[in-house]
Amino acid sequence: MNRLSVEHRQILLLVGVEGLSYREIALELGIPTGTVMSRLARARERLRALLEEGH
Amino acid sequence: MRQHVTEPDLHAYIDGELSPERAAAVEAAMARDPALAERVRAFQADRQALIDTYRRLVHAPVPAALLKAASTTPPRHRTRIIGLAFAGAAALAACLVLVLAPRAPRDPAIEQAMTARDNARIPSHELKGHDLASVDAAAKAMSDMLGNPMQVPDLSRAGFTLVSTDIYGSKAVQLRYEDARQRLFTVFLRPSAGPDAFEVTERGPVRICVWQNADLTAVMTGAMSTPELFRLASMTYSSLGL
Repeated sequence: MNRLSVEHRQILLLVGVEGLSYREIALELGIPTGTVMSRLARARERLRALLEEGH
Repeated sequence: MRQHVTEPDLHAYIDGELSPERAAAVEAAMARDPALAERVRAFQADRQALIDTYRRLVHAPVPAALLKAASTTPPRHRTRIIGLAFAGAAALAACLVLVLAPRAPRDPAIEQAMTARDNARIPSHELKGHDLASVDAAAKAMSDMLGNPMQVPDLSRAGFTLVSTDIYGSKAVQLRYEDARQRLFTVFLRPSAGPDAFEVTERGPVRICVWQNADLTAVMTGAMSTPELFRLASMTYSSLGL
């Protein structure tokens, strides 16, 4: 996780661990729901790539 | 007719955020494409691993020996207390590195913030009551600590008023806010404890948000929901004048 950007770590924790909905995150971050979705997709791609690098 | 499935659709499917129609479209696409189905399963596994790891770490107990050491610290020697607090936090961090590796880097700052929140750490100077008529004194203490101009966040829009500022020498500042229901929101600021970071964690009923950049570590706490804490934390961080 430490190798992810703050932005990516933030979105992964808020969605996955805190269980906030996309709409709640969009409201809190002041960004469109579509941006939450695209940012989350990039964050998970990056996490997946890092995990594969580690194997 | 086949519907186009995007990458964000896949993740919204994993998070249960899709309408039944779009979810059905994703499932149909996965049925047609085994590689796509495997990717979705991998993302689901990553998501679950993240949840398992962080929830386990959040609820993991602090080692008993460290708790005992903290509770038997003599209360008379303030400077020594602060030194021990930092040393204890460092020792705790060392243990946590072994046991709780993913969370370790920010834990010393969290320990310091929680100790300050519980008033177990005695400030070298405290501003409250009429002292706060001018927030300049608090801002000056914060600015001196970091060597950069900073401002005391105004959280009145969220219903929180600054009730005291605790200054811990040149090492840290704690801002204590309360709302009309006397709920406490604290902002613990210290020079940066590491690289850029954002974390949300919890200690019993208290939610903790750590926001860290190259200059500053901000640990914000409150016995409130995550969305409310996050709203206050965002308002605080954007108002510090960094």
